[in-house]
Amino acid sequence: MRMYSKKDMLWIGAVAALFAALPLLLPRIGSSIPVGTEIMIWGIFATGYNILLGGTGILSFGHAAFFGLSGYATGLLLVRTGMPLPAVIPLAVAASLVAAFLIGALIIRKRGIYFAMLTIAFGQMFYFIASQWNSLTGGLDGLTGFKRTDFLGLDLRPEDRFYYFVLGFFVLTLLLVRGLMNSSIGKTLVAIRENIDRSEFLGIDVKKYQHFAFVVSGTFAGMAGSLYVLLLNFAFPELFYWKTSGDAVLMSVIGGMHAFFGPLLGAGVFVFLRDMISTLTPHWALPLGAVFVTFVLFFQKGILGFFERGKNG
Amino acid sequence: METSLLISQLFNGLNLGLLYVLMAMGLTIIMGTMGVVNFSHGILFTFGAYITYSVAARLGYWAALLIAPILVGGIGMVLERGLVQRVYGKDPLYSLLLTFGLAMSLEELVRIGWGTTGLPFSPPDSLNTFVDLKIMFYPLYRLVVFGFILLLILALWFFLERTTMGKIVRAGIQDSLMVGILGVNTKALFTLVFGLGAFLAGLAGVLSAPITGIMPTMGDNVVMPSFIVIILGGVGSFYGSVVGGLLLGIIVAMCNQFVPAVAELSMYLVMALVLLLRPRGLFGEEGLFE
Repeated sequence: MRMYSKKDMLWIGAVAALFAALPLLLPRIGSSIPVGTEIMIWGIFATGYNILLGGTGILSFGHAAFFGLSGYATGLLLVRTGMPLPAVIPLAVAASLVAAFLIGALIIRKRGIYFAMLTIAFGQMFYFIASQWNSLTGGLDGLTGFKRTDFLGLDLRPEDRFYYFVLGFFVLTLLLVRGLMNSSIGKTLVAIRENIDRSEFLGIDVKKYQHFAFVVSGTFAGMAGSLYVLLLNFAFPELFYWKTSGDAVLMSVIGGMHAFFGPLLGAGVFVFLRDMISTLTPHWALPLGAVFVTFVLFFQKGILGFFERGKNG
Repeated sequence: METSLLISQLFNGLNLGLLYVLMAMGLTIIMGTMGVVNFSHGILFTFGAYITYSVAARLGYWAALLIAPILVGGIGMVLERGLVQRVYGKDPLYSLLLTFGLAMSLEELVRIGWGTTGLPFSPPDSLNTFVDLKIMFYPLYRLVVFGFILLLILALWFFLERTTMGKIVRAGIQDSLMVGILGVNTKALFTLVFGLGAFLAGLAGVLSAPITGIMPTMGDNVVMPSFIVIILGGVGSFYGSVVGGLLLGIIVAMCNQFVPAVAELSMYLVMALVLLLRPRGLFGEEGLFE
């Protein structure tokens, strides 16, 4: 079996090309390059997260834990050790991987909303650690005192340079996730989503696969978190907040969690809408919340699901 | 260590715990009956406090105590009829996201209506004193709240255990489909349960306004502990909510006094510990959400 079909490569290539050209377009429509960077970062988060939600059928409301953990690890490593970025990013992402493995091992046996509640609670645990361990994390004020510098000699300080740096991770994520979902492991995950009992009868170690999906999605959340903190040169407790987890879930659902590019589209719509509405009114949360409610009520399959009914991503 | 300090913290813990119990009971019956994780529960609590603020300014605290919970219960029923009801029977994901979006909008509505900064609020004059309990002085208001919630929990227990309506609610927690088959109007039942939960959340908001003050994000601070209470006590369990809530309140209050750095964290540690030792929670029944 080939890892990618021609169609996959064509689509991923097209998306990569679109994002490569975006920095030329963004300033002309009253937006800015960091908005594009942010869309890609949330795209990484949501696309990885959707391995769990859309792919395996498990709802986690706590992936902000891994997003924030890696973000703080990135900031702390830069502040405390002065390590170079090529070492910092992998270490930070590894921290999320380990955390996802441990938390997953503790809770993966639970199902449904009980599982979702547990993930919220664990995410909040990290939130409180970050907001109260003042001496290490800077508490509620957040962690500052670091700036992204260079990556193997490539100066990342200008926003457009960093944009293309993130683009690399972004395309890598699309390729990795698409490859995973095309592989036999990915097919097994979907089988578990479709029918847990039948999968068990077939001899699949369901919990092991679910745990795997949890860890992989947590790791991508970590990658996004590290890049996000580098984008802002700032880490703050809200990275861990349950509402941040909720944002990732919403992105997947808005875009369409059963389409491969759904979460990415959702991330784009989310960041763009939030930015647009917040320039119009400080009370952007009111209309944004209403948009989400509308989506949940009337477009449960998301934007892509609405346009391509019946197909699986 | 001073005994009086220990005892006053114990009282504070019980007070806090009883508020958690009120919140958790509403959440847990909604969760048990409709399978909905109600993220708007925290904002209903906030509404309770803000409505109290506005009503108390005109009619006094006692009128607010009566009006605000009923109003919040009504808001809950309207939300249920208009929105939440449409996602029953679908993946719990949708009810969760629906109430999440709803909470987001409603919290902003509070900011628009009452401002973004917190509002001070003190207990009614008649209760704004300290009582001499021989070993210590303790705020009268807190003692009254204490007794009031205890009575309320008793009333709720009576309702659930001794009345036909309560039996139907409990049966709904066990198996709402079967209750429907037996001829109960589940549509009305669900609205009632949601309204009851909202009423309890609103009431908790009214009662805690004079203790904590009023601010737009106040709901967040109680909704997470309430989730933990449910995890501790077991989903859908009345006794679990009571025991879990009191336990959590005492632990948080004690940590606040003696190891403030881990006060918020302590509840998550307790949760993790209980999960390891008793995966279904203290009073959880087999089968629910497993």
